[in-house]
Amino acid sequence: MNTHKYEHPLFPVVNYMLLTLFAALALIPFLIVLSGSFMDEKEIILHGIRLIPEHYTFNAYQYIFQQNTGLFRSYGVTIFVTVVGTAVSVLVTGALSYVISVKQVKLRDALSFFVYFTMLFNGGMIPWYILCVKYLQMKNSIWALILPMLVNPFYIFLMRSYFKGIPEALRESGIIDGAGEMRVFLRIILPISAPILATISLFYMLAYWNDFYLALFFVDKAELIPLQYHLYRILSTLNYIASATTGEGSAVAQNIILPSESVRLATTILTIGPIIFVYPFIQKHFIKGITIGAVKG
Amino acid sequence: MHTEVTSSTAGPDRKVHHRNRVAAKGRPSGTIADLFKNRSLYLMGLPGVLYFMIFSYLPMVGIVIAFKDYNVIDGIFGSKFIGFNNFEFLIKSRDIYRITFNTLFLNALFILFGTLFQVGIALLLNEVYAKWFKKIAQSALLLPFFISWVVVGVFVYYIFATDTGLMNGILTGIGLHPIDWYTHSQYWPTILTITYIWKWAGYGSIIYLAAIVGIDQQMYESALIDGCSKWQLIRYITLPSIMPTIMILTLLAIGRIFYGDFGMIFNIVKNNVILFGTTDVIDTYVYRSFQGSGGGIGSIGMGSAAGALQSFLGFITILIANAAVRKYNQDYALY
Repeated sequence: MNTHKYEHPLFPVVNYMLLTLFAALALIPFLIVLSGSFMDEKEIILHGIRLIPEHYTFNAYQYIFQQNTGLFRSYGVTIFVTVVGTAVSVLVTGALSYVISVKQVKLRDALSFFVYFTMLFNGGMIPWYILCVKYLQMKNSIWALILPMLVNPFYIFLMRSYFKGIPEALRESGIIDGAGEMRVFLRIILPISAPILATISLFYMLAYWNDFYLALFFVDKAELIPLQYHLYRILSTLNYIASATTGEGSAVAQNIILPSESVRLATTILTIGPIIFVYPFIQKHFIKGITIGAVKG
Repeated sequence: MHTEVTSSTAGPDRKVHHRNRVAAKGRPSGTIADLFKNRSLYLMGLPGVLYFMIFSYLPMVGIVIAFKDYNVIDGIFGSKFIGFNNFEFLIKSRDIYRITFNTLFLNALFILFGTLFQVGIALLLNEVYAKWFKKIAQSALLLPFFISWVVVGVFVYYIFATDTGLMNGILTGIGLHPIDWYTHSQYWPTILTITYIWKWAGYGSIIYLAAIVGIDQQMYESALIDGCSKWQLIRYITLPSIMPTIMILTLLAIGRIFYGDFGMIFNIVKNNVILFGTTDVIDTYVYRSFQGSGGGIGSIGMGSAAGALQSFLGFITILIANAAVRKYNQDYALY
């Protein structure tokens, strides 16, 4: 559409300037933390964090790689949770969505409502927590980082509408050829559903990678602490220090700073690093997922 | 209600029902026969069903804890029933007014300004003709969506920290006095709103941009022939055309207005009691009633009463919002 011929000459200039500004504002927090992670500890404490530091140093990264701060063990936990969690989530979500998409299943509307109702009403944090800890005994179990967020009801409906678009004849021909329902699902339905599988997998992956919530509730054993919760823990003293305004308070605070500011910043960078690294490759799947999600729901 | 209508009016469905009935002839009842006939399909759905049974439906039963004097040993069902006592305490403490106000007020700010920026950025992106620029701008704007709230907490901290933060560095740099952000609660609704805009601007603008791209181009062509200006095109064609999307997303967000963003508030405010006046929402309050130190209210009874109130008020508003969406546009109703 050539609408640009008719516009005010200043319009595109203002437009590009505004978008450049917004894009810069979106990136600035990343950049200050990145440059802060290369700053000298003294410089941070004396002058505060800066976009362009006077000196660059790798001290913070060196510290993390040499000392055992627990970061790498947390990497292991998060990678396990993300890989296993995503695989199980996608299978369980896919299977249930498929079942409620097959017309032959009489209870499919009842099952849809069963899933849908959980999006309308929930028991809240306390009953959920007591259930998991007291009745399911999930405290300090690796499964506590996966099972409570195994299925997102919203994705059930996204996948259901995708499966509904697959001709039923495909399933029926598989059955006629003697394959079981499970085999049809795994061998025929899933392979032709690659686009939705990719999108849903990536959404689950991001959720597992970024989760701190389950660890906050269920984990305090060092070997089970995932990445985000590790970062949370080394930061949790920060705000206390920030709010201690009295001279005495900050003096005490300065003595207990360990790990230092720059190590915290470097840990943050190492936490988001993998996401930034894969971002160019996964971005388009997310854009697609966000768009179909909006159309459907 | 809606489901019955669809299943009884859809043609192919009825045929299937009929076929099932024929197949089930001589068996005790239709549903049981179907469970047996399609057992392998139902079995495939079982793990998902179990998940919702355990992690969604069982906690619903657990809401009775709000009417009990809970102690860990007796558990939810063994503890003593005390009627509405927990709710009375909650109201007497006046906490409920503060946390309900904060939840509603912050969410209202998020919905209003979030939508404004998301739609605005979508409109701006739609006018960009250089593909590379559009791609870069969109990538930058979407990046915050990928970041956990823990990391966002780091970002906010290093922008607003009193001694080490970027903001005070800038303020002193231009000759102004630094501000003690973390000891003044009045700044935080604004800071949280800006954070919300920052995190969701890219995500929301993708949705609105998709809606804009879907607009019938002929409308623009005829408007241009009539001599409309760019502003008029936006005002009289683009905005009205994406209004259904704006309305529906806003209504769905209003439906969840009683739910505070726990991850956000908890990671940005943490245990800073000084800021609770403007930032403490129902979810963070409930959390502190049974977990964590620093500003803990130390009463699981009051916390579970607040949680139960949230569940019921949230349920009612979601129902109303969904009904409004359905009335507004049948196609967009999720169910």
